[in-house]
Amino acid sequence: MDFIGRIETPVGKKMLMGITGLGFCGFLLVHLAGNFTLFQGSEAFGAYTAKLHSLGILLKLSEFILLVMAALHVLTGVVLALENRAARPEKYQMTARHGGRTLASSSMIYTGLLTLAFITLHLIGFKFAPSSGPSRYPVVVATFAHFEYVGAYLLGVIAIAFHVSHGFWSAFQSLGANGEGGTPFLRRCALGLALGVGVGFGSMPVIFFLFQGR
Amino acid sequence: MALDAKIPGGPLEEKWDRHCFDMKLVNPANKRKYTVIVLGTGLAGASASATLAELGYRVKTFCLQDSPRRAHSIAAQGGINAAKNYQNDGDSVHRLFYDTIKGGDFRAREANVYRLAQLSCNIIDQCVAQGVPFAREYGGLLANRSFGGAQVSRTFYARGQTGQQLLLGAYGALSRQVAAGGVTLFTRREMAELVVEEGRAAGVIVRNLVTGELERYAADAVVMATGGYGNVFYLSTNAMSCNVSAAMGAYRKGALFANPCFTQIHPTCIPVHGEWQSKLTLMSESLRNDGRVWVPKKAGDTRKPSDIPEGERDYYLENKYPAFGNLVPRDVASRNAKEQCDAGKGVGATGYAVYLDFRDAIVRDGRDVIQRKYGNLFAMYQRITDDDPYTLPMRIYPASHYAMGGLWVDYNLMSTVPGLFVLGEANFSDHGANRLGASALMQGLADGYFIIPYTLGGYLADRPYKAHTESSGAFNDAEEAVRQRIEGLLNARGRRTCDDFHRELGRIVWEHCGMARSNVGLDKALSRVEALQEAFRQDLAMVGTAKGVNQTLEKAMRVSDFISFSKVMIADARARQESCGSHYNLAFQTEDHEARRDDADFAHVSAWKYTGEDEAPEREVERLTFEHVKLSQRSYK
Amino acid sequence: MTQSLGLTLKIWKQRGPDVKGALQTYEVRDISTEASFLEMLDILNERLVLNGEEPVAFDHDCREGICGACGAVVNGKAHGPLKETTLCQLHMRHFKDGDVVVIEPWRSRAFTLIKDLMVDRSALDAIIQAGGYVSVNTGGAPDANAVAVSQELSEKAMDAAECIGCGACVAACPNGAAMLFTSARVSHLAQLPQGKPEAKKRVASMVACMSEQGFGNCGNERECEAACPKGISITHIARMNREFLKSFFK
Ligand SMILES: Cc1cc2nc3c(=O)[nH]c(=O)nc-3n(C[C@H](O)[C@H](O)[C@H](O)COP(=O)(O)OP(=O)(O)OC[C@H]3O[C@@H](n4cnc5c(N)ncnc54)[C@H](O)[C@@H]3O)c2cc1C
Ligand code: FES
Repeated sequence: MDFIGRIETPVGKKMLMGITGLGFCGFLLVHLAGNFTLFQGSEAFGAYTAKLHSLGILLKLSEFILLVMAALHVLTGVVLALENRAARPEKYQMTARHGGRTLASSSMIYTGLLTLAFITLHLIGFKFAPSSGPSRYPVVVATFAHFEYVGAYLLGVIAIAFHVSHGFWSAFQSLGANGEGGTPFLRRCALGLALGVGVGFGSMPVIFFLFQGR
Repeated sequence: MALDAKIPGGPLEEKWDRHCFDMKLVNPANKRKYTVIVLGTGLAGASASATLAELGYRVKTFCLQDSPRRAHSIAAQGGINAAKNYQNDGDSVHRLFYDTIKGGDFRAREANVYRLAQLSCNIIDQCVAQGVPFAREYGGLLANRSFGGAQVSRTFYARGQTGQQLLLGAYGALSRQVAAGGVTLFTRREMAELVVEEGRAAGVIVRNLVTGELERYAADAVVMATGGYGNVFYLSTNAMSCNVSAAMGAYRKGALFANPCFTQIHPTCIPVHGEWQSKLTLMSESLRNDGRVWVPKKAGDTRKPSDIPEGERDYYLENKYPAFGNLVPRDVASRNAKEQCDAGKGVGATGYAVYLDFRDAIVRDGRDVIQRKYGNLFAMYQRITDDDPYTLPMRIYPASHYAMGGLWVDYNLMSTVPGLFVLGEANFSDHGANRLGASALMQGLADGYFIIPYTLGGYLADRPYKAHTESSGAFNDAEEAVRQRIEGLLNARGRRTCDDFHRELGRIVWEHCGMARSNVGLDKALSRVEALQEAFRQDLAMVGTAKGVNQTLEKAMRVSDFISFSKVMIADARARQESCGSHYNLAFQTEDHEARRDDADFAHVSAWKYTGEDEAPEREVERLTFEHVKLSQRSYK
Repeated sequence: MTQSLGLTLKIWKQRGPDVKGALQTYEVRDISTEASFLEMLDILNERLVLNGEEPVAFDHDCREGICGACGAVVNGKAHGPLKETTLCQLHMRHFKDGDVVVIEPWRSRAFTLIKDLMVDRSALDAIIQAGGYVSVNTGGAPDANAVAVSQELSEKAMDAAECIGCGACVAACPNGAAMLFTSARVSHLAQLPQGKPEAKKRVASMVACMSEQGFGNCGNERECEAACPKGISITHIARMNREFLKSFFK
């Protein structure tokens, strides 16, 4: 079996999901750390974004990698979901949980698609929005003044948190990095990460909404 | 006709080697021109199929279940014997040979048993190479336990699932050959008729259990490994599909049925508790290593076991057999339990149970140790009975477990129908009147991996290829006979279910042809079976058609064969006017109530010949000669 | 204590793969709490036969939880409500008088329905045929003690080898995946020295065979582990994934 053939197997696809997913988890952490400068005011945030843009080609390269990862993660995710649906043409009349399934694990495709929608809006809103000056701080302030935006944002962040709470440990499992008795530990880590990401990113719109950027 | 077992000459130790050399070989290039049918995918059938295909034969393999891995061998718990002497405790091929012959109460063939003991070592090597995860010591070498009253530790095991692991090994080898094209697998197929052409096995008619269609398969030889008939007792430790039908099919076509009355009743099973009960669960014999068997001294004592003081308990096995105690052979342990219960000392709701008590072992070794040894068995017991064996003694009672009897085969494992070979529990060969624990797995695998590949070659070497075709008259006739039989059953519109008939049959043979037999009882049993057979013909309730899945029809075919078979079994028990091993005729006992053999008149195999459905079968005899062991009274005192 | 129950059973009845099926309702009375679930079905079937009706077809054989033949989804759960218990070992004392019990067959694209609760699970055999063995011919095996295997390793291999191939993992998996089944065999053989030489080839072809047979993909939802009557752990799936990863490198 060649390389592509291996990737196309059920395990190969899940590995692809795992690698890209873990990449996004890393990205989320970096992004979160950067965004915390928002709380230090316009200058700090401006300095952070300026520093980021000074990376030039490196930034472009990372953005490109993120884009490719996103494409792979989303496409593979959708293929997996469709295949899984097809794997049980006749549904059960009565279903019950056996004890493994969680809300997060059962909704990965939905939280995933929500996340996709959210990121698209997010990019349109912040990254590609026409800005009046060198800093995007005012855009943030303006956006999070709107109740609807804050609501949509929170929804997106919650979706991401749910997605991560299953996705993070699941990636380790898919990549074979789970040993005897390791599942509970990995699941706790995933939960911690999800909470961190959820509270971290969630705090921004809320605080900006309430305090108008202080 | 004198039955010729075709035992090769030469010293006992060299017979098999010499025979292997003397047999003709099939040229490797010609092997693929021969087609071999293997019926059954238990240890015997799966190992034979895989090995024959490895050699190059075209193999067609059949089983009842949806997967070969589900054959009844999967259920064996305790272990498999081999004379490896890894424990340095004095075991040897000769000792295993001797123990097996003696355990069988001197009713097995010396040459066969010796070969079995020799091959036992190769089996373990083969299984380990296949990845069977046998239990191991800390040092990484294989662990052994003593089992079934053996005084050496020669039993290899994989937790309480030895049969499963061995079968998965053989199933792996079989699957490999399926993938390689050497074996064509036919699952959910039931052999309905053996086709015999010009006196030779020419193929089979099978019923496809999914479509209901009858299918024909011709071959140059037929290897039958269809397991034992323990279900004749209705309740047994066997799987539900275990049957005698395939063997009866061969019997009706001229194969002799040997020693049908030798059936093993296993002493440690969970007792019966209701009319609707469908099977009895074995609690591994290994439990007797630590559990103590007892009943209240007083008949009719209904106190809770914990309320019965030490002085009022009868540890009857320990008292009666001080040397072996709770570890006496199965037949002895079973018979004693029955005796106690018949005397009114049985316990539990039905009074047909004795206690197997771990209290003392738990005090001595600690709960942890006992749990490590028997945890899964205790859990199984609790799941079924809802009682906790750590605090309450287990209740156990004997149940039908294994068939020593089976189709008669010669040293080459060929039946009296040339070209029909019989392996595993389906043949009668190696266990005499009582099988020792952990020997059935050994025998099935020896037959399949190491014997049939040689002896089948010896047969085929002289045969033309493709001597039989599916369009021949013999196949037409056989298929027509099956069709008529099925139609006959389907036309039944009576008021009693198959299970109901089977239950009654079970009660009759259990009572009269079970652990203790008497001439009067056997005669009564025969007439009751005859009446039952008549009722079956008149009053069977049947539904459905011949097409598609019809489990009621499957059952009816099997039950009708069990009824026919039970008559042969009863006839055999009646004809054997002695007691030996599992066959215990009350008229022949020693002062200590042990089996009293009659070696002058009955040191033989009785093999029964079919003479017609409602005719009494004819008995033929193969005399057993013992040159290497001295016939002695078995004593476990 | 022995008691008797009356139950309403809703059982999936379907004559064959090409016709439509539906839940059919049956009432049963006087079922002893000591009876097993399959014995309860036996009682129903005997009554149906006496009434000239078609009994419910279901697979079963050993009735002691080892052959893997039995299995149905009972009230939404593969093998019913009790953990680590096959349907044949489930006893009626775990039900209450008056319960409604919905009984359905394993459902998966890879398991064609044969009749009622009976399905064709040969896809599982196909996965084993793809490589779930050690390629040794009979004869010529070295002495069984020639290679020492640590007790720990052999116990771990045994943990995986306990799989009974019933297909409950597939039935319980929201995605109809056969990962637990496949991984049990891969993990068993990959851990033993005897299975190592062809480990890479084995895992690659067994994994590929899963999708060829029409099974879904793992979602790491752990329903398989929770439904497995032998309690086989998903760490075997992780091990299979690891083995698969290794197979990328020559
Ligand atoms: C509960 C239990 C525990 C046991 N424990 C031990 C133990 O610890 N040690 C030991 O040595 N022995 C043990 N035994 C005995 C041993 O398991 C069996 O004797 C042995 O496995 C029989 O193997 P076999 O290959 O001959 O037949 P089986 O495994 O019974 O296989 C029979 C095969 O034939 C097929 N078949 C049957 N009828 C037909 C038909 N009409 N048409 C087509 N195919 C058919 C079946 O589908 C099956 O594949 C135990 C037995 C039981 C019941
Ligand atoms: S019938 Fe064998 S596992 Fe249930």
